[in-house]
Amino acid sequence: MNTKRALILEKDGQDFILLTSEGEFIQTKLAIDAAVGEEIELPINQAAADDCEIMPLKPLEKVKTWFQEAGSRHRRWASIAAILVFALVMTFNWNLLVHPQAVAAISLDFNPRLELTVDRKNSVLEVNPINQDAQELVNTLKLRGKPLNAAISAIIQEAAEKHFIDLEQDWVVVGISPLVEEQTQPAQTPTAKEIEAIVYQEVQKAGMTGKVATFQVSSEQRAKAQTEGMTTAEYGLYEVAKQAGLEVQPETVKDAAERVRLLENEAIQAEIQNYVEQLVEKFQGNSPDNRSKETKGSKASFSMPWAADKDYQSKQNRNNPGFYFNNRSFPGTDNKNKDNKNNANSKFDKENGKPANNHKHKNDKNSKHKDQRSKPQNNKQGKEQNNQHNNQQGNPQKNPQGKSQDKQQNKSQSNQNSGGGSKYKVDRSNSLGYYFWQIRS
Amino acid sequence: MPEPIERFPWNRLKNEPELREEFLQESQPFIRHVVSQICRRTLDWGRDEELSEGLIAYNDAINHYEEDRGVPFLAYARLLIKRRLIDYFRRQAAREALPMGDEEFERSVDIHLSLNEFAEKEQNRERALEIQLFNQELHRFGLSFKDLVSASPKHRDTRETLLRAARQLALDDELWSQVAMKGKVPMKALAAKTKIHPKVLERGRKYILAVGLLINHRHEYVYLREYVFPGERGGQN
Repeated sequence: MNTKRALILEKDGQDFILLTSEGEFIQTKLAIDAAVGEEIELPINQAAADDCEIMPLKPLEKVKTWFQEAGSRHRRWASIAAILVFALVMTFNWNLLVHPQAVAAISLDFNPRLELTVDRKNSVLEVNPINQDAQELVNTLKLRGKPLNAAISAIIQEAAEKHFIDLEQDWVVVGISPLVEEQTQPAQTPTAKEIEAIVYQEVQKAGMTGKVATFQVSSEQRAKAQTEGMTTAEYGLYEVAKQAGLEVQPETVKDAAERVRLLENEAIQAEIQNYVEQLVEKFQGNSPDNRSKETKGSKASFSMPWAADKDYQSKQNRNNPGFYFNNRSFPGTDNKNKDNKNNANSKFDKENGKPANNHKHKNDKNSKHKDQRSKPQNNKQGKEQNNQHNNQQGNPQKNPQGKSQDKQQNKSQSNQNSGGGSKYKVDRSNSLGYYFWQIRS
Repeated sequence: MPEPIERFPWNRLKNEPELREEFLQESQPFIRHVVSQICRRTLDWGRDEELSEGLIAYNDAINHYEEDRGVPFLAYARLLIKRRLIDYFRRQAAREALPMGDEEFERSVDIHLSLNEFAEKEQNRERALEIQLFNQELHRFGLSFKDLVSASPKHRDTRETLLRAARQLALDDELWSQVAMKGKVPMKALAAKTKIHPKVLERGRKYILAVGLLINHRHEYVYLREYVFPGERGGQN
């Protein structure tokens, strides 16, 4: 650091008036022991050289730090004591200091919207209610420090009691996003599957139809979501909807009623199914090269953590792709749900119940997808496939593949379809697009 | 004696008698100023013995001075002159009281001061004296160090402009005589001479005056002067 000489002209306690070698008269407070007439060296703050910012200095002659000054001996002891105390704390309480680091954020959206962060040990660090309902819901609960499972159970039970979840409104959308680099921490974070299971279980316990959609979102996407004011779950939904080529406003997914409409939109469900297949296939059979190519080609804008990181899946010990769509209904719930369940189950049987079939099916779809991208003529095959699919569901529906190729065509098609006896009224203006879903038996 | 030392490199000054003679000649005003101050009366060359003592001390200072010690020569010379004169007065008094005293012995003990001994402590005391003097002089103009702090330009450019103005004011006898007589800076004349805008000068009036004092009283503010005469220390040391 550059220094400049300065002469002490006047001194009043710690208040000095100096004449510097640049010809300025300055007044400053200095922690030095120097008398009038002594020369000292002032460091020139480089950043503020023009403004001649003066920092505390050491005198030219008496190079004394505050350490050596008699008057401030107690400060030396104070600092030594502080260091000792710090060392002690660090030695014995290392864990205490280190642990409270949020490693994952879990968001729950039913009507209340809230977000939890958990630490390495999977216990709740923070509860962040996003809307009024959530505030009400969480107020009476003491979640902090509880294991995540217990916290979720408590939340769902409370929600059921307060009728935030009931027969009309029984969707729970869950979002999970890691907050730290995977490499830096042993994978203690809750898996999507686990959380989904807990939520589902609790909803069921409360006597409702449990419908759970789980989204795994990367931390970057979570950040994006936050800027939009969405929870991770909503963001996942939003992204998928956008991916499906539909115009979605962030506000749409925030609204509980709209969300349900989206989630129950059969077209979306079909797309979700399609999605799952692709993903499962990626992780089960295809080479990494194919995987990345596909992701790039068909879902360019929807970057998923497991697509970016090939080893993500194995690290996380997760066999399922990031989206979970869980739908169960029980006898006694309304028809709509029942039908929904039936449809879903039939699909599920094919896809998940028999792995071998499933695989083949996926491959078909996948190849079709590729073909479509390259050659529109293959659409026919896609349609066939689609019809087959729809038949399985017992519900003539839209063509998930066609969408990605020609949205408009698809739109009209789906409109026709929705007119044609679908149990779910597909309101195109509100439908968000394709979802895939997976039904747990 | 504008800035004589620049013209007299130390290596030559010590070895070449003619050059030293010339240097002593040019330094006479300084010696006279210092001696007069100590004696508190005006002195004339050829009449007052004190001046001769001062000249001898000054010559001594040239012999013992080392350029790279970081001490301004004039400061060193001034201290030697003071010491020698004090010694001189003591001898005078002793002669009057005890005409048989051993002069030579006394002198050699008392006035010897090497650069080594001219340590920080001495210099600090010298500087403190200069500062005291400067403060008194400022008070005569109704100024204090605190005023100067607030009047001191913060920007380097402005400061350099004002320093230049102060230098021109202090080194111009005509302008400075007005300062000495009226106790204020002749703004119009200075503006005309420096081509600096009167507004700028007006804003830096106090600063110009203070710096001008330091520069003009070159025999008194040996130390302080370096601070407002950038780059001078290199030449003088």
